[in-house]
Parts: sequence; C-alpha cells; structure tokens
Amino acid sequence: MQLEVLRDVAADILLFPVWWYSRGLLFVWRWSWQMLSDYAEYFALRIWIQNLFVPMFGQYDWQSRLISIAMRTVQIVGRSVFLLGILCGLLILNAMYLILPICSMLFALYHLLGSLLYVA
Amino acid sequence: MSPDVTDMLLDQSRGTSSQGVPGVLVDGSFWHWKKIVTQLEIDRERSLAAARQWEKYGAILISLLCLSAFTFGVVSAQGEGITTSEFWLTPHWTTAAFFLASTAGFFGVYRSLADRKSGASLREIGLETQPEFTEIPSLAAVERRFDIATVCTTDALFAAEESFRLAQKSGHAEVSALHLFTGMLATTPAQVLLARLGVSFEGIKDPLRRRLSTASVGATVFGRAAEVVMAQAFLQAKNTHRQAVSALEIFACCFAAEPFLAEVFAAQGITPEELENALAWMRINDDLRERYDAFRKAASFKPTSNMNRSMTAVATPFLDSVSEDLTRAAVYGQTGLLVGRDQEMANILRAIEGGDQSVVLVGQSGVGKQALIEGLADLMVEEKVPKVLQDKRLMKISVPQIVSAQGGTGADERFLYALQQVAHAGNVILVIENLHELVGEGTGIDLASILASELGKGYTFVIATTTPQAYAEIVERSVVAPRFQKIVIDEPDRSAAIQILESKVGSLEAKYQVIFTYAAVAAAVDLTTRYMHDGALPEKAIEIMKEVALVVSKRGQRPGWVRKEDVAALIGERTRIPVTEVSQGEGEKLLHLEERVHERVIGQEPAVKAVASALRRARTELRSGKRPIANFLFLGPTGVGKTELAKATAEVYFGNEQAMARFDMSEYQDASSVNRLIGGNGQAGLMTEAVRKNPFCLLLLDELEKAHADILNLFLQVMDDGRLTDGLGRTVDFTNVILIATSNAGTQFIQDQVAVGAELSAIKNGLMEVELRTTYRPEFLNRFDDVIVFAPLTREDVVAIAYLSIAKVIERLKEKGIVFTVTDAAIHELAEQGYDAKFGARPLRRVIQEKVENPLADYLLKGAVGRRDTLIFDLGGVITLKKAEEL
Repeated sequence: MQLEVLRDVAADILLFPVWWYSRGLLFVWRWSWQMLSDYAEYFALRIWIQNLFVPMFGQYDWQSRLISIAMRTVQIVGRSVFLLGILCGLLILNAMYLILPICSMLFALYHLLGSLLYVA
Repeated sequence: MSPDVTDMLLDQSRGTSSQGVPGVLVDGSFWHWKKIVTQLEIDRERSLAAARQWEKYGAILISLLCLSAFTFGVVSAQGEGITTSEFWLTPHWTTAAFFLASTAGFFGVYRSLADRKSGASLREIGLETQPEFTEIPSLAAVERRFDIATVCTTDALFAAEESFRLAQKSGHAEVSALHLFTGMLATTPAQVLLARLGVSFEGIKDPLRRRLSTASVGATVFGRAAEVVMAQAFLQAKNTHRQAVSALEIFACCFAAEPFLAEVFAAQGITPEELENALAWMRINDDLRERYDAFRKAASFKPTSNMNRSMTAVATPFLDSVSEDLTRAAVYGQTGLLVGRDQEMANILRAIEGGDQSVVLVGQSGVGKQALIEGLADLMVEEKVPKVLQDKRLMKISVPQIVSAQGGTGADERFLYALQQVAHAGNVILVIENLHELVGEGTGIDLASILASELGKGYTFVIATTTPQAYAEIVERSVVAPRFQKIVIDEPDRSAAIQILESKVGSLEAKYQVIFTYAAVAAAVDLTTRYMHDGALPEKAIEIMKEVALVVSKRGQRPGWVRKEDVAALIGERTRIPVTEVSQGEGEKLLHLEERVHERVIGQEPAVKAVASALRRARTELRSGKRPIANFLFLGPTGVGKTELAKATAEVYFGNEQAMARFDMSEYQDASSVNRLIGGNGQAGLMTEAVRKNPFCLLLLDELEKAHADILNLFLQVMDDGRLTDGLGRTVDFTNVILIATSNAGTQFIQDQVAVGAELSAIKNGLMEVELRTTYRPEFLNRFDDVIVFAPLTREDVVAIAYLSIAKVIERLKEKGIVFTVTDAAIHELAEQGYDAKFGARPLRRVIQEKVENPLADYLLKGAVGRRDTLIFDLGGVITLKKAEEL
C-alpha cells in the first residue's frame, strides 16, 4: 500500500503541469470572468450608456441637458477606462498564469544545471 | 485502476446474482455507487490525503527555504547587480533558489486548488428529466455511468467509511442501512439533527447496539443494501435541489430503509413526520445561507444614498425626513429574509407590472404584511423585480409624523409636499402602512383625497397595508379605494408558519444562547393556533418563541434547551389553560374524578359519570379539537344538584368554582337580548367577552328553556364549531369551555315517571322523543354530547345532603374554636323536615338556616359560648352547651 501511495504522490507531481493548463486554467478563466462581470456591474457602464440623453438630477431645461450629456460622456469614458484597466490587469494575470510556471521551471533548471556545470 | 476495469470488477463481484445494480437514471446517465469501500481502500485514501497535505506543506517549506537562500545570496553580495540582466541570466545558485522558490510556490497553489472538492454540483445535472431510482442488470447495459461518490460531501463519504469500519470491527458480513446510520451519527450534520430533535446519542445507542449484534457474520463487504441507500440518498438530494449528497440524505434514507429505526425514534417520542420536518429545517437553513450570500453580493451594488445608479433622481430632503428608506435598510442587512409567500409576492409584482397599479395588502395584524414589503425591498436590492421597480428606492412614509408635526396644522400641505417630492425624484416607490389612517374620520384632515388625486396623475404608485376590518369599514368607502388593487394576505398554513419560525430561530439562538428543538418550534405554531386567538400567525408564534427563549436563557444553563414543554408552559401561563402533558399526579386526579365530585354532589351517579368521562377525554386529547370540551344538557326538577354538579366540575377541573361563566337564560327571552350576549353595534357581548378573557371555563346556561329561539341557534353553532363571532367581528374560541345547560323542561314528566317507578333510561327516552320536542328542536338536542336526566332526590339522598350541609356548619364553627356536634337522629329529623318531592333538597337549606344556624348565631351573639366549648345539637332542635375546662 505504501508503494501505491508513493506512486500516487509521484503522479500528483507529474500531473502538476497537466492540471495547470487544463482544469487550473479553466478555473482562472472563470474567476477572471466573474471578476470582470462584478466590476462591470459595479461601474454600471450599461446604465450610463442607456441614460446618455436622460438629464441628470431631473433637470430638464436645455442647459442642464447639455451639461448632463457632457457629464455623462465624461463619466462613461472615465468608467470605461477603469474597466479597461481592470481588463488589462486580468489579461496580464492570465498571461502570467500561462507563462510564469514554465519560465520559472525552465529558469530554475537552467540556473541549477548551469551553476553545477560552472562548478564542475 | 481505470473506471472501466472497476465497473467490470463490480459486475464480477455481483457474480451470477439475479440482483441488478441499484442506481439513479438521470437524463440517460446512470449514477451508482462505484467507489470501492474496503479497509485497504480506506487506508489508502487516508494515507493519500495525508500525503497530499505533506505535498502542500512541503512545497511551502521548500519555497520558503529557497527564498531564504536567495535573500541570503543577495544580501551577501550586497545586492550587487540584482537589477542587471546579467544577474538573472548568468547561472548561479542564488538565482536558481529564486526560481525554485517560485516553482514550489506554483506547485503549492496547484495542490491547494486541486484538493478542493471538484465534483460537479448536483444542481447542474439532470435538468431535463425527472430522476428515478432503478436497477439495471449489468453496468454494461448503460453507456454513461457516473459515481455517486463524486457528488458526496466529505461527511457523507466519512459516513460510508465509518459504517464499513463498524461492520468490519464487529465481523459483520455486509454493511447494512443500520451500519450506515450508526456510522453517520459521528458526522456533524447528523449530530445537529439529533439535537434539533431533542434526541441524545445515549438514548438510542443501546437499541442500535442490540440490533446490530444480530447481523450475520462474515467477511465484510460494502454490499447491495448500502448501495441502495446511497442511490436513494442521491435521488433525494436531487429531488430536494441539494448541491451534493450529504449525511442528512443518508440519514433520511437509512431511516426509510430500516423500519427498526422508526421504532427507536418513536421510543424517543419522535414521529417520522417530525424527523422529515427537522430535515427540511436543516435544508431551509442551507438554502437561507446560500440566499443570504447571494443577497450580500447583490447588495454591494445597490446605492444607499437617495440617488439612483443612473443619476436621474432628485434629492428629496423633506421626504427623507418623514420616511424610512427600506431599500437602504435591506442593503445594511436590517430586514429579515422573506420565507414562503411566493404567491403573494407574485401577485404584488403582477399588479405593479401589469399597469403601474397601486396595491393594498389586506391582512390581519401580525400576518406578515411588513415582512412582505421588506421582502420586496430585498428583491429591489437584488434587482430581481419588474423594470418599473428597478433602480428605485422603497420609502415607508410615516403618516403620524406628517400629521403630528406643528400641532397637526398643515398636515395636508406636508403630505402633498412629500408626494410632490416623490413625483419629482422619479425613483421612489412609496409604502403607506395602515392606509385607513389617511382617511379622516372626524379629524378634519382627509389625506386620502390628496393621495387619490395624486395617484390619479399616474406618476407613481403606492404599496399600502391595512386590516380586513379597516378595509371594509373605512378604505372601501373612501375615495382612494378605486386607485388600489386589493391583495389579501392570509395567515400562513402550518408548515409555512413553521418554516418562517425556523428562519428566525438562528438569530434568537444567538441572542439568548439557547437551542430550539424542532418540537418546540412546531409547538409554538400548533399551540398558539389552538389556544391563542388574539393575533395571527406567524407573529404570535414568533412572540412566544422570543419570550420562551428569554425564559429559558434566564435559567442560567448555557446553552439552554428550548423544548416543547417550555413552550406549552408559557402558553399555559398566558392563557390559563393546562396545555402541558398530563402529569402523573394529574393522571391520578383525573382517574378519581367521580370521587372528588361526590364530595360535593350526592347521588346522580349517571350524571357524575358522564361529566367525569368527558373531562378525562378532553385532558388526554381524545376529543375533537373543534368543539367545546363537552356539551351537556342537565334535565330534572329543581334542587336535585344540577347547578351544584356544574360548580363541582368547575372546581375539580378548572381549579376553582370561579372559573364558571353563569348566564340565567330567563334574562334573555327576547330577540334583542342576542346583542347583550354576543355584542353588536361596536359593543362587546357579555358571554363572548367572558369566554374571550377566560377561554378555559365552564359555561353554565341556567333555565335554557326560557331563552329566545335565536339564542338557541347561536348555541347550535357554538356546540358545532366551537366558535362564535362577536359584535366586533372577532372570533371567540369556545373549544376549551365545558358547556352545561340546565333545564326544568319535562320536570312534571320526570316526577310522574319516577313516582310510578320507571327506569331513568326510559324516562330519558320519553323526554327526548315526546316531552322535549315542544321546547327544543331535534337538531339542537342532538348537538349535546349527553342529555342527562337528574332523578328527584330520595329521602336517603337528602339525609346525605343534610350531613354535608351540617359538615360545612361544623367547619365554620371550628374556625372559631368551637366544637359543634349534631346527633344522627337530629340530622335525620332535619332531612325529614327539609325534604320535598317537588323541590328536592332546596327546602333543606332553609331548614338548616332556621333550625341550626339561627340558634347558633344567638348563642354566639350572647357570648354564651367561647373557644373550646362544645355545642351539641339534638332532636327537636335542642342545643346543649358543654363548657370546656379552664386552662
């Protein structure tokens, strides 16, 4: 039985990359999507766009309408930038998820072998 | 081992047995228990779980060590070149340590995430067809097969393993439902369930052990019986929309599969229905927790200021000052979760969505109108409402605040101003509690017409509440009525009320440091329904729960257990009705009722027996709960003990003679007297009020034959339904009264028949079939549980009564320290003088007054008799005084 457990542990270690780029990746995608949806809801971009021509604060005179459109445009741009920033952040995180483990493993091997050979 | 190989082995292990593979068919997939449960497998899994823990901790340790080495290397080199590409690209052990640390860190992340329960949620499978339990001849018969174990909680898997361990330890051949049940008792959900049921493990362990010892012995296998239970548990989890198969489903399925368990629990006073309800309670708790989590997340997006998300609203400073923002309260978690009431909520939303129609919720106070409105606020926070309610605030306006400001002047202007702010803001939905308060009746301010005219403009709509009485009497006749759609909110039924209470238990338990058993929660609903008729469910039951939690918490035990008996005791105290179970002492008392009644009433055996039996039936809950405890008609001549028996009954059963509401029906001879009895024109009735204030009493109706026919019809309903609606529209409960009517009708017939020596039963038949027909209608007589004929008293009876009456005089003199004795001959003489065939024992009282009490009074007034002296009463009324020796 101990042998079996050892075999399972070895399988766990070997399966690390397989899991990382299959179920792990799926998990990160879902998490990122949820995060993005939550922020989109938080910034309420959809509501701002839908109400672009609806005057703010119930001020229906033409001056207020103009100010409102300008203000809403600023808001929409500002909020879009924020959301875009979050999207970029998440994309970077995803890219790091994909690249970093490979890089770190390869670099570890490179430095380990390199330093050993150097010593030799 | 690959899945297919496992299936093949499973099939082989079943051999040529005619039994198939138990499982559940969902959308063409077959779910069965595939997991191998053997000691070896259990040990292997536990070792692997431990090894995986080590993998995780090992990765973290390696990561930390490598990071330390890297830091050491960098610090030793004084950070030289760390920012250069040369540092990172030239092979060196310091840089190797850094990358090793990060690789180990990633491995740690992998192990942590991969160890999380990765099974699919049960809710995501089988959405198209109804799952069904089935058995297939062989696993090869279906293409898509899944393992139930993958959708089991850790507790459920632990229960399976524990049951195997138990069976193996005892050398039993197969894991049975009983093993599974016993194994499952070690899990937390099962322990919580037992606690809710008020059952301790100690209470059930012995019968379980004895039963398990009868299991057949052999090499243990997790066999068919256990697989069937697991498949059934899967089916139940699926049908009750669980996310996974938990220990609770196994508990329920073991209980269903093993009739012995029903017996074990019955011995602990738990019925299968109670168990099912307690299980439902735990599921409700899980659902509430899920709902709460989802709500909290949604609440984080809802604005709490007076501005909506699209910023189109206008500030409403005055409205804010006279109202409460319910959506904000919901965001801050100050509202309770609405349980049930789906139909009512759908009605409200439909009315609003259908045409921006204002609604008025019409329901008794305490029925949950406020909870429904708070539920609507919750839905608005989650934005799970029709478009017209989305991104809006729900504001509860305080009418008293508007009316009372500035000494009441200008209330209409203020109200109009508040409504104008609503119109201006565009994001406010108004809630008006007690709509009838707006209708000015004699106050001079009729805010209702302002509301009606503003609603007519169509810029907003209102959600209002009122009571059925106020709606019928005030709102319906006012100008606002056409603007509102009426939605009736009824009391929730028993199971819905229990569920509402269950959702409230958590906060009470935390506040008072107590734990409610299921029976206590059910009793709060059942007993308030039965004995407390003021107020409505669920509020009255919630009030009782709060109070009982406080009472139990004061006992000082932490945590205190709130049981059914505690709830019963509190309700008993409130209503003065003995609600608690019959105790041993009281049982004795009930068994000897006749003897106790006979201490006061002489003779009349059949009558005493009939009354005593009715009382015993009532106290042991064998009677119908929808009628009075008993309805008796006492017939017979005057002075034979009819009223005395009624008084004795009140004293014996209700504790004192005063628990009797007595009405002389000769005072209610005309039709208008109905109003005096049950009230009318806004007045409470004498009888209904007496019973409402003291629902547990004896209702004595003297000389019933003299009452008006309309009054007899009233009692027809009382005897049939056990309730009556009084002049104020309140339902008065008569199910805890003993109704005794006395009547002298047919007296002559009784006396004539007794004179010719007829049997009592024959006299009764004669009365029922002929004599009483002229006085009472047959259906009226049939409503009585028993019509009891009191025979005229014999001379012997009167002698016995004389003894009783004299005993009372002796008792009274004893209090003054005077000994009074009456010779037997004197008593017989008094009885002889007091006997009258026509008036029964009534003349006896007068005789005793004249012959005994009057001379005694003279003695006392003259001061001739002192303490410790003896007075002897003898034939001819001669009283002899024997002075006591001097001290």
